Amino acid sequence: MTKYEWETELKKCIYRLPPEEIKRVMEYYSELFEDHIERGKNETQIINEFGNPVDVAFKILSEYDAEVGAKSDMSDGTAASKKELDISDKQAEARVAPTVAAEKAISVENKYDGRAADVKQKRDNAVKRRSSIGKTAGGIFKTIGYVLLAVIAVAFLGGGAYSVIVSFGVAAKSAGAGLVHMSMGAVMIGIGLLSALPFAVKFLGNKQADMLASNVAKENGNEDKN
Amino acid sequence: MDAQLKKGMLELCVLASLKKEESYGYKIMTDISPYVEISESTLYPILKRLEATGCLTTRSKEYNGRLRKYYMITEAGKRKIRESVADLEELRRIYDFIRREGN
Repeated sequence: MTKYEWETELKKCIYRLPPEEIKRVMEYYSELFEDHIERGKNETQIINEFGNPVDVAFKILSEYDAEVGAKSDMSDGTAASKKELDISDKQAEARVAPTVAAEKAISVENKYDGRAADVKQKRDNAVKRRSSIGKTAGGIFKTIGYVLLAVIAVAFLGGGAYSVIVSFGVAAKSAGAGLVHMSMGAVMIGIGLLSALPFAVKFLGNKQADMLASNVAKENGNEDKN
Repeated sequence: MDAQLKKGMLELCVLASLKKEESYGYKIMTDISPYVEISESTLYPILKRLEATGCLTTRSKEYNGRLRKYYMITEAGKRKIRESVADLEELRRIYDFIRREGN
């Protein structure tokens, strides 16, 4: 491999870095090449010392990503890195859109001994998407069930109360008919109360359940963030 | 060596090599490689980080018809060396302890 081939391969591998960064890297290595040549080494020896351009590129890329990640966590940037922060914002956004970044990173990093980190990230995201769809479907059924129960509860409570009230008037004319109305009303009120039971339990247990639910949600939220 | 520890040590070595006078990539490599394992691809991010944290500044100077990047230590860089001396002494005590007890 010649100096030119080595440099070309390196430049190809770090394509996704910002142009100023690519320039900086290429200048750094070009200068080192020249200094080594000046000291009498030949290109092959120098390339042996530098190593495989793909490995070098991987090192540079992972260091760059790590620094960008660290900077996007910083609330205040150092003066020297303010310019780099602008670049890092773009890179940070790219990292937040995992599929895009993952796809790009996979195509480059698959060269580097198939590092599976981003592949795993993609898989984890797909799993999370599936489980959240499942949660929504279950949630829809749950909501429908609650709505049905509410309708039944209201209908029977209302109807039962109406029957009981009417029964007094009916009883004036006929005790038997009045009794029938009243008992029917009582039964309907009973069914209405049973239907309303889940809501009552929910309401009463709400304060405790709220605390438990928020703890569980926090754990899930932390997992989701990771 | 632990990656973070090594990074910190390399930063200090690079700064130490700049303490007396400015230097450039090749020279820094040859100055510190007798003392610590380092490759060109490792040195690059170290230099970048030191510049980002204000421990050194750079300038391009012409040399033999080409441009060479020179690195100069700053006051902050010198301070970093001073402040690390206590840590390094502690490291040395730990090293002695492990050597003693380990045998």
